Amino acid sequence: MDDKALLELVNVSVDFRGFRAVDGVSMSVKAGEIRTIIGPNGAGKSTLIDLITAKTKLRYGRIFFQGRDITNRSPDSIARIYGIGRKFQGPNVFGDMTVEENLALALSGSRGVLRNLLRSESEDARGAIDGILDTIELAGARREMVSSLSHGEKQWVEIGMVLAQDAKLIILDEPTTGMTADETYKTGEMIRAMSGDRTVIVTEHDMDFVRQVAQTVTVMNQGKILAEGGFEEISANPEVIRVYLKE
Amino acid sequence: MGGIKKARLIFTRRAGINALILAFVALYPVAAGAYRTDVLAKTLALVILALSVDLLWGYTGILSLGQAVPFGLGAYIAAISDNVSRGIPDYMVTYGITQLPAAFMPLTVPAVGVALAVAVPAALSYLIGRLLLSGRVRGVFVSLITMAVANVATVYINNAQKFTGGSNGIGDITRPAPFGHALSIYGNYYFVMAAAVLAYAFCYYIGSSRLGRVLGAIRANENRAVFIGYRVSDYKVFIYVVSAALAAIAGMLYARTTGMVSPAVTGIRLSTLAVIWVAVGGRGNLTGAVAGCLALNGMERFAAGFLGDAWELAVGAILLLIVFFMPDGVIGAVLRFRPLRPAARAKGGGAGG
Repeated sequence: MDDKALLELVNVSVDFRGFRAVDGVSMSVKAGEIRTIIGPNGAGKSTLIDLITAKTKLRYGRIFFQGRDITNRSPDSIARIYGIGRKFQGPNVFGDMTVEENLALALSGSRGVLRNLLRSESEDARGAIDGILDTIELAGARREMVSSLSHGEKQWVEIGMVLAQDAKLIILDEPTTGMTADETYKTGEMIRAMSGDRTVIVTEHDMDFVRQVAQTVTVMNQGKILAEGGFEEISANPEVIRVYLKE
Repeated sequence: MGGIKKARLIFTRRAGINALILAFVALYPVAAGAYRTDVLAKTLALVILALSVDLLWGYTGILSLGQAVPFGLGAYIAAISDNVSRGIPDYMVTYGITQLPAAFMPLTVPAVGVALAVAVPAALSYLIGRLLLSGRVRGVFVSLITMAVANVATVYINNAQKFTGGSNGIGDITRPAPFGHALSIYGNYYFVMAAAVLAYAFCYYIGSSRLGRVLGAIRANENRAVFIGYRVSDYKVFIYVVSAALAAIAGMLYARTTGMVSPAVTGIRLSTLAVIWVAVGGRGNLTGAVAGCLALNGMERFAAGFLGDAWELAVGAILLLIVFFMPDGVIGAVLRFRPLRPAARAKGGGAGG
């Protein structure tokens, strides 16, 4: 096992009623990098993320985070104890709450019942929320209901929630779905700004976006890893062009 | 209109409605005689039951169809405690009990009786909650299981005649005696009213705490709450137990106000009625639970005279109409009502909210 790896998947597989959605994937993500996972629909990208965040139970293989085995821990522990934050495909937010309330809920800190019974929002929490609102460019909308925002803005709220969690590893599942070209570009810049102290894994379809953010690209096809490397290397790979880039 | 402005409007309206209800309830005994005052005291105990349903259903989205179980247990333990504090009750003598069983000895001390009337239903709810709310059972199945539990409780109380009086129930329960001697009808009325106001304040506090926000998050989008790192089952079990304790307090006050309990107080019928009060009034804002409970019980008193059993059909009709035309309940609709002024329509369209 690679010592420097933040996240390490070892021979991970899962099948649904005989269909092997993820098939023997081994992958290693270094601390601080931005990893992009691309591949055609049904390649197993989202399922792979479901496995890392324990939404789906792993059948074969193991997952290590910072050297610790996190295989099949509960999804809330993955988020709370290990600090792996996830943005779902398509905005998954609390619609009938304000932007601020969404972020406050995600804000790191105690997740315990009794602590929260006795606690109200503190001043430094307010400061942290201000910072995140600036990052996701929604400072003017902090008191708007999330349900009244545009699709792209909701996506940003959810990115803001993952930031508020203070996650060490941020996983973004197709964050630019439904965004305009301009919003997509802004999102790319947000992701570049948030990497560094944090590690980011992002699945994506939009090749311009991938070119903008990617350091290492992993290409998946039919549940397996087809290729891995820098963006130029990947886009010149004849196998990748055949299954994916051509379509 | 921004979220904050709307929230402030709702807050003001809610405070206004609360003030009206409180003034009505506080002054009611002045105009009504002792009998009607006692009847409303009983309804005020049920208001606390309605609040406990709102904590669970309105705040958290857990629909229990067995909220009368902790209510009934609280009522029965209070009734037995009251009876045995004055010797062996008649109904036990009828079934041949000459020596009070050891298990009932602690109940002869009134303070212990009060503590157990809350602690036993809370502990039972903790066990049920751990089994029911840890993630394996979801949605409508949770409701169905709570309903089954309510049925089991009724059957059990019916059959344990020696200790519960069976289908006759337990009578001869004295009014609460917080200052040593039993309260008068009016004294009890204000005692129950104070308890209802405190229960409201308690529920309001929970709703405004960070805990309340997490409960709202669980109701709105449980999955998201899990992936932010909340152990959702802990929150659900906590509110389930708190709600049960509140229902038990309601049951205790109810028993000591009506002077008698019967197996119906633990049953599906009362559980369902409590849910209907909250649905009609509007869930999640507490005021709806209070108003729904007061209004439907008041109407029942009024209508039972000429409708008889048909009243239950009328309740069904009211419920259907409300669910179709005011999904947020009557109070919910009043709180959210916004007159469409032409000017606001012209410029406000895009801002939304």
